[in-house]
Amino acid sequence: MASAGSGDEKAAAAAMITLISSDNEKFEVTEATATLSQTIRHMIEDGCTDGGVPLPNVTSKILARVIEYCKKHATAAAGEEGSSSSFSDAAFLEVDRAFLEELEEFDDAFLEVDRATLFDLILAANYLDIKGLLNLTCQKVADSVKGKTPEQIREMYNIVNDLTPEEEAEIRRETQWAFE
Amino acid sequence: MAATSSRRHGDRLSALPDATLARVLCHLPTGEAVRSSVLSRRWRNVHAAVPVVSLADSKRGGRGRICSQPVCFEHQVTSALICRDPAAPIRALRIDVFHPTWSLLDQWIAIALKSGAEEVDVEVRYHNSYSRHRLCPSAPHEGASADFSYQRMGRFVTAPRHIFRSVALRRLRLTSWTLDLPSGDAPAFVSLEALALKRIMAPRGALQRLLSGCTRLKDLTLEQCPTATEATVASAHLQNFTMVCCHKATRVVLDTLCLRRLRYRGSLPPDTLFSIANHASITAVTVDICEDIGEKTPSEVGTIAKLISLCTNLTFLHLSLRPEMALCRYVCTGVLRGLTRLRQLELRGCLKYKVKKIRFVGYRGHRFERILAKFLLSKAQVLDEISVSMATGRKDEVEKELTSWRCNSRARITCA
Repeated sequence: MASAGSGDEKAAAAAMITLISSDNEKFEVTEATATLSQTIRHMIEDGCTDGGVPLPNVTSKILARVIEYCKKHATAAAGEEGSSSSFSDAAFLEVDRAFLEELEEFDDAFLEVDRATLFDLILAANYLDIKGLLNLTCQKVADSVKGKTPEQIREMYNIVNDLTPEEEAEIRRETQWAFE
Repeated sequence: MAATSSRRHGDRLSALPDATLARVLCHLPTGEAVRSSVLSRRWRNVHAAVPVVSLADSKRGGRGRICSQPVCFEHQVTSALICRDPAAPIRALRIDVFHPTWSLLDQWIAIALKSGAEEVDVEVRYHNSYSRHRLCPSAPHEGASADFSYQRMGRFVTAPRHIFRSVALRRLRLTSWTLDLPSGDAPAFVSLEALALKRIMAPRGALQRLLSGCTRLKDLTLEQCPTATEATVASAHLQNFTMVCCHKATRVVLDTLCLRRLRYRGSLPPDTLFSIANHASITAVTVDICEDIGEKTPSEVGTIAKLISLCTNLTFLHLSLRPEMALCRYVCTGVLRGLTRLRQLELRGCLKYKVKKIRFVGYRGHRFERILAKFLLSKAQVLDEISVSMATGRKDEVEKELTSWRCNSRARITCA
């Protein structure tokens, strides 16, 4: 059993997929890395990846980052699975952190990007349907607005308030419980 | 170019698709997510589709000393549930509540389950201080005990039965509840993957009936559950098992062949505590002994060493023992022998101000010996002497390496 399994893994590892960015740059990745993207996984299943997978919505700069993420997490997924289903247990939080440290360090460093890149990554993760990356990047945005007032959030993200004072007052009345 | 201009002028956040904005908001407490509705027209209804309802009651304290807050918590939760888009499902309900109206609590859970919630996490807190005391005989408070006191049994609110009939639930965490599962009412938790039970009061057998019904469980945490005396986890999918201060436990049977992570905090486990079907699959072990083992005999302490040594494929080991001297004496007596795949070792205990002398016998400079030596030398601030009797290798090299690790530059290093 064990040897058959590793044989399959070897076969999967050998299969390479070519991804083509919007600016026509080609990236060779293993199937294990590529299939972190559900979108690409479906293409592979449908057998339409010969000659490369064009990704007209993703620039080479962003695609390179996305591939970097997928490579790291594909290796990690092989060793450690099922962590998404678990609760982070308060009593052992520190221990868990130590255990996952390497991957977390990678994720932290990975998110050290300017805001424009962060949004490009979100859009790419969304388009490619990479759940982990989408979650990670959305979490980063959520963390940046946590504890901020609506005014602060508007300023931070250049959100123009197009509500009339009456409309704003109405919304605040409807959701008053959240404002007190 | 585009990036620069968008940073100055554009509102790229609001330009994200609705589903992505909802995904951002689901990482925020529900109150904050709802407050996003006043950002602009674009944001007005985004919050209503967020699939997570997450609220924590800020009330603390005992009866009569409850901090006031402008809107009562029950009103907040009920409003949060009402202001949602009725067509958008609730995926997760996470509530930390202080002595609520019980019928309301049941209704919140019922609404979430009816909506097909995959995760329910409800922690209840009570007026009485006993509900906050840690159920651990080694806890620092007066009258520390492993069990709820007799008069208080059954005082926690009973978990609503419909939770245990849910077919959609994948993750369930219950904190400070009474679990009442009559024998005729065996749950069949076919979809449940993660279960965490903390501070649960339960009549005899109820806990086991629940565990027996969870056939797909991957992740189980039992914390401060005095009725977890004998537990058999039948799920063949179990990967993570955590037991924290279940001091009454005498037998835990893990039938799974794919256990990866075992975490135990409690008294020194009796030899017969764990029955594990497959030690070889375990890659991470955490052992935190909360009682003082200073007076224990080596054979009593040996149960931990035995457990660890059976897990031959460990890559992570965390050991925490009290008092700190035990750590050093005990670890040096061979726990690490045979763990050829270990990548990460953590030892907790304050070596800082007490350890004066360390002796290594038969040092070969193997990776684990070096990890251990480095750890000890870098922590022990009042170390006077470290003596190493070497089995093989070059003395001057070892001496040089050890010297580079020591945090107390006055510690003498001798290799023989």
